[in-house]
Amino acid sequence: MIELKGIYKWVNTGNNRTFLLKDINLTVKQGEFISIMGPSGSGKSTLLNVIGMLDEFDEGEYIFMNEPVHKLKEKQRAALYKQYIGFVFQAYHLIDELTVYENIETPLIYQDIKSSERKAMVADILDRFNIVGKKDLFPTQLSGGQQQLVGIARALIANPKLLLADEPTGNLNSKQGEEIMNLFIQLNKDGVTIIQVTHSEKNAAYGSRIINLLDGRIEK
Amino acid sequence: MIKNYFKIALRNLVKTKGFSFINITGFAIGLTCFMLIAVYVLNELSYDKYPADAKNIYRVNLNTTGNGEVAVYPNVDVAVGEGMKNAFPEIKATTRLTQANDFVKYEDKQFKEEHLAYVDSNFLQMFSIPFIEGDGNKALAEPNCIVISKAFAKKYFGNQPAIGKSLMVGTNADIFKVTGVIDKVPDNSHFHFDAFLSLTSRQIKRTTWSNIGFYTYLLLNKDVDPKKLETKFPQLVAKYVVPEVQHDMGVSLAEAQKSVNNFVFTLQPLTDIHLRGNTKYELEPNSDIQYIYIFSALAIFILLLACVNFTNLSTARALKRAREVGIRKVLGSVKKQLIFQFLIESVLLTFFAMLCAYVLIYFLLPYFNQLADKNISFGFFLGYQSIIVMLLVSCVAGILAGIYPAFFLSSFNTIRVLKGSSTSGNQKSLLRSSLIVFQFFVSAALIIATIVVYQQLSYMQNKKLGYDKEQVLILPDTRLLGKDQDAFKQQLLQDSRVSSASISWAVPGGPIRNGTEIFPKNNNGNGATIHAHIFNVDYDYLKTLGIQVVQGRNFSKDFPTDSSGIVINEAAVRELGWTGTNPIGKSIVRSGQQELTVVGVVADFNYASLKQKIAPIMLMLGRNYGGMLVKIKSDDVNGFLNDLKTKWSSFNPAGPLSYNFLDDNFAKLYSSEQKTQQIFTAFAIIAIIIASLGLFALSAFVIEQRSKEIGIRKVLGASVQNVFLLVSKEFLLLVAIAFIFSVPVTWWAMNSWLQDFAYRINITWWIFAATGIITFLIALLTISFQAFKAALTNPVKSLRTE
Ligand SMILES: Nc1ncnc2c1ncn2[C@@H]1O[C@H](COP(=O)(O)OP(=O)(O)O)[C@@H](O)[C@H]1O
Ligand SMILES: [Mg+2]
Repeated sequence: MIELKGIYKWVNTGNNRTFLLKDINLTVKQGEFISIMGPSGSGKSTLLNVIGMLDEFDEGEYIFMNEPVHKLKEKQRAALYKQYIGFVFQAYHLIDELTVYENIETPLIYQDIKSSERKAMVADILDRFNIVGKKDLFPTQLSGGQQQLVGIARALIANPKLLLADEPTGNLNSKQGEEIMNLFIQLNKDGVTIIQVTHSEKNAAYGSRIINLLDGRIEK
Repeated sequence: MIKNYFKIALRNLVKTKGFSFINITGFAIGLTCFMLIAVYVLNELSYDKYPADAKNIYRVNLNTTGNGEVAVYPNVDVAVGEGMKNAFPEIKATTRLTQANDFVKYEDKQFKEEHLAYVDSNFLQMFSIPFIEGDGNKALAEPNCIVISKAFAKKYFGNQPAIGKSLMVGTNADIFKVTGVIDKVPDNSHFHFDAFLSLTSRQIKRTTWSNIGFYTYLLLNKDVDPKKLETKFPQLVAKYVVPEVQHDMGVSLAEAQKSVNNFVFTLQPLTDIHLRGNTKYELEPNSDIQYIYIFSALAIFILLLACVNFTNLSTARALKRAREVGIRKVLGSVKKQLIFQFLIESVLLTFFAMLCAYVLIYFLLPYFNQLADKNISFGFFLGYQSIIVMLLVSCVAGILAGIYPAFFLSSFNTIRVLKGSSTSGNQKSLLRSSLIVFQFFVSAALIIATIVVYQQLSYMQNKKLGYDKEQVLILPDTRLLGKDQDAFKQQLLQDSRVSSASISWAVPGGPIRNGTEIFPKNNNGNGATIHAHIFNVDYDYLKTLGIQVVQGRNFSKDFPTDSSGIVINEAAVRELGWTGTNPIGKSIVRSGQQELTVVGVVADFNYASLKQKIAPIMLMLGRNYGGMLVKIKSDDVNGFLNDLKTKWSSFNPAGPLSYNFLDDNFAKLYSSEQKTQQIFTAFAIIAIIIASLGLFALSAFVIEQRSKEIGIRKVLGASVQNVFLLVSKEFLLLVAIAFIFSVPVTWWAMNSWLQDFAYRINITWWIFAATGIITFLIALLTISFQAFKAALTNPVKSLRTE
């Protein structure tokens, strides 16, 4: 599903070149559940963003679902991304001005899905996550765990093949974290490929494979 | 304490450079506008206040009613002033003026003087115009005396003393002795003459009341009520005007007595003339009080627009300063002190703007003077009065702009703010939205006004006038040729470049020099009297101007009876009550009982500005010796003019050749509308600039505030268009609302402006459509810079959590 070959990413600061990612080679098969670990500043988020096509890289090849991402135009990449990828953040990143329902609905709007269809899809996922009663609340009225639940529901609403989660449990207590991890396991079983970034050994263990990152390089 | 406030305020201004820049620019433009217009308005209001007795001086106007229309004349007949003074003890003094233009000669120097006035001996005293040389009391007491301005003296006598010198005036070379020199007539006067000649030189013998021609001013005793005095004037009309009408028109006494009602003398305060005197025959085109109101309102609006920017940006930035407010409160600052601190910031900002405004004024003053036809020096703005006004206005604007943000900011809840919970609802403030609507309302309204004025102007300039104004040369002074005028005309006609020429003083677009009361002589008794303008012409007038004969014929040498024949226009046919009949061969009777026969009817042509309806005119042969109209057909106009001058000189005329072009004359008719258009354009541009500045900063700010949301939406799949629409939608909606408000208001306002024009455009829907599109595009462009930046920003940047 994902093939990264010799990916480099750097930023130029004055005359110095700082490498954020160095020679990343990574293959991810459909149905895998991967945990990325590493100290703060080691490039975990950067790698995840590159995989999620939110960020560019400077060198190397990236093949996603048999498409060479590095050769695609912005528009094609956006289409690819919209169709296959869902994102979950440490800080939830819900839109404060929108209700739970509207937050979850937003990705569907951007995929030009008809209103009636949207309703059905959102109702379905609210049901699945057991948050029907919360649908008219605003994010600030929810606990952290509930907010992250909404964040995951929103990431999954368009049925992505790949779920990218950047420290999804970083702001939660251990019980809430556990719930989220169980949810991930369930999703993984249903066929969603998951790549998560985490600091916690325990949470990392939920994954089928762990990748360690140090200074932008994958530790062997 | 205060010093501390200033220090902090200053630091804040420096810290938020973009914000300060936009606010100072807006305020500077606003203040510049305000000051320039304030000075303009003050100057307009100061007109004719310079005479010591200005408050007690009144001009006698004459209102006549004929054909159901009231005509107002600013001048009356020769005997009116003296007659009134003798009849009513309320009147302390009276003086008269009648204007002239003529050739003036001293030794080998000869010029045509356009601004001469024959006045009574007490005229200059009544207007308190001081003499530099000569005795003001006696200077004009004798016939053939002349009082001249300093510049006039310099022109003829150089540095020699002027007093006692003799000037030759007019084609008969009458000798006038210089008995006085004045500096000049003050700029803020409703007349500006270069020389005053004693009226007694004209040796007017008649003592009539029913004509016009003499601008007559009365000096009333203190505390006399002019309204009361006016009610006594009908007595004099009955005594003097009625017998004249009876005699001149050959009507019965009963009929003539009607003139008591149709012939009304009124008094106009001297100080009202410049702003409210709008008759056809003013000594100079006056201003209009309407414009004073409009400009004052616009000046205030523009300043308010700048205040709006400050208010909007300050409240939008509130979140950023919330922490500061919280900390200050914790440290023991009370609300009052915070308000004071924020106000100092806004006032300081307007003071900086004031300094910029001074720089702007310095550079813009020449253009302003040209546009406003004024002569205001930069020094005026440095006078202590101007500085006080400027400081005061800056201060008021600063407080006005800062008062709401000050209260808003200082009322933040300490605990909530420090905990960092967002002061939500801050993004969309009703006040801010209303203020944006206000800004774009003013902008859209001004754009509509500009387009309407522009359209009316081009309509007037391009309308078919009923005569051909192209390539017609006007020679206004062919009377200098004396008896040779005909010979000169014949010579011109030999020239292949001349297609036609006519000796006549009646120039379309020029002053109307003659008119009379006439009535139709019908089989079943005589019809009602109407007023008709008289054009004294020769056989070639209609041909030279391409005026179309629709019935009957032009004057012809084959008909000797044409000396008592007339050609009238269609308006005359209508008003004489001859519509539907054949007017040819019918007769009219004019004042003095002369009977004239209609030989032809011409199509109506716009002999005057399109502001005026076409009134009845009658063309008569003869008595036209004064000027000449020459229709040419040549591309080499300069070559023709050179030959013309040579030809002119060969006749040894009593003065130099002067000439102008009919189409140029025509263009001058609308110079006031042209100015209005320029002013509206300037205002519209300024308003748009200020509003756009504000919108630019505000959109930048709001987008910055929403950057996280925008990032999330992009991660969720929003395209560039989605984001663009998201951030510009609200602003554009406000602009749309503003535009919708502006439509009915301007529709009403511009329609009432158009009422001044007898011939006018209709305000069409596309003017509004165009304005809507223009305003919308400007707003879109302003926002799009920020919106695109937001839409193209990599969401990773705005979502990074470190
Ligand atoms: N666009 C950028 N410009 C400069 N430095 C960056 C940029 N993006 C990330 N970095 C730096 O690169 C390093 C890796 O960042 P990140 O991937 O966020 O680390 P983490 O493993 O903590 O998620 C950090 O030191 C970060 O400051
Ligand atoms: Mg990270």
